Amino acid sequence: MTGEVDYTSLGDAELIRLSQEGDQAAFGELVRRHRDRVYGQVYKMLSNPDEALDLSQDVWVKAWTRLYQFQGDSPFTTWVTRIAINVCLDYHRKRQRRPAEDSIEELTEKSGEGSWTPVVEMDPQQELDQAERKVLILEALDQLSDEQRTVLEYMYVKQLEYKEIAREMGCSIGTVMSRLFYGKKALGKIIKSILEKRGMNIEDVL
Amino acid sequence: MNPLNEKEIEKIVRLSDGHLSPQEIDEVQALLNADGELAKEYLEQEQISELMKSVFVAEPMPVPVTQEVYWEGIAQKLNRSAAQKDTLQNVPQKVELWRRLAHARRFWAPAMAACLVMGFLVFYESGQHGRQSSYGQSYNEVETSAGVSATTLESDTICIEWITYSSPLQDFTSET
Repeated sequence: MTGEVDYTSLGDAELIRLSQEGDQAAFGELVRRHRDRVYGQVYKMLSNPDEALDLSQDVWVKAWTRLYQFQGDSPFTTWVTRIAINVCLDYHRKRQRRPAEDSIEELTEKSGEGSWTPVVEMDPQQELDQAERKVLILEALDQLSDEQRTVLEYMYVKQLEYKEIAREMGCSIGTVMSRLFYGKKALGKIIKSILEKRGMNIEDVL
Repeated sequence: MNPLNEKEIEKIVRLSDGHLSPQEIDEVQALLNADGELAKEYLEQEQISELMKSVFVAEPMPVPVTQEVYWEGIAQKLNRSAAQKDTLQNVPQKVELWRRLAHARRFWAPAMAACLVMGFLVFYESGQHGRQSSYGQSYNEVETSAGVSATTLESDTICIEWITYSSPLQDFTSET
């Protein structure tokens, strides 16, 4: 075969195979196709465009080094999104361990020096609503039992599938369903009571 | 309302998370239409699912830089990570080499002592038998039996051996 390979015409599976053989150009095409999803996930978890950009690149570095582990059991997007979630969770954990350094970073960010100006910005009101929703949910999750909180975190934060949750928790899929059902029920009650104190109902935050 | 059975719970959870096939959705919808309490349960589950998804599950968002700039950043990080990996791989080897040398130091003193003893013995032996020729080369003379001695003269290019008998008539020299 002669001439350059047209990577844009190849499917994800073929690009993954080539990438696993060390073809960086094929991996570059995968990045081009899925970068918006990865960036969106990281941005959602960090709410900071500079950090999201930097960390989303870290996600791709991690994806490249772990690509040999990708078996094709789930779609590539799901696989790389999970890496993004784990990278963000690790980042949060590290931040919690060294608050002093971060406060300096935050001050630098606030001064605006050397920071990116995002092309797409969220509407400030939308951003506020999103932040409020996050605080509300985290507050409510904290009041759940460990079992219920864990199953909800696996489902919505780590975005695992039912069978993966069952494996992680060492129980059957039926038990996972039951824990999810009662976990959501309990979470709903807590959220409603928090909102009632503020004179709001659940429809106001949806 | 009767408590929900396992099957109903599973169907509600799957429906609220969007994990049912169109056919299954129709079946569950029929169940919900027939049971108001079940429909209420489902609505609550769906609201919480929506809320959780709105906070944690992301929609794609355009990266605020071009693919070239974005990829360049990834490539730099990849190179840095490869360099770090190399460094990390080398460190244990260096440590290993140093450890081996450190371990070998235990044998340095006995080895040096052995060398000194060997050197002394060689020197002592050569002092007993070694002599200097008139041309400056060293030679050894060994008396093999009564009246017969073997002499070896060595230089960089030649080695001469001869045997000397006590009788002058039998004196001869062989060159090798």
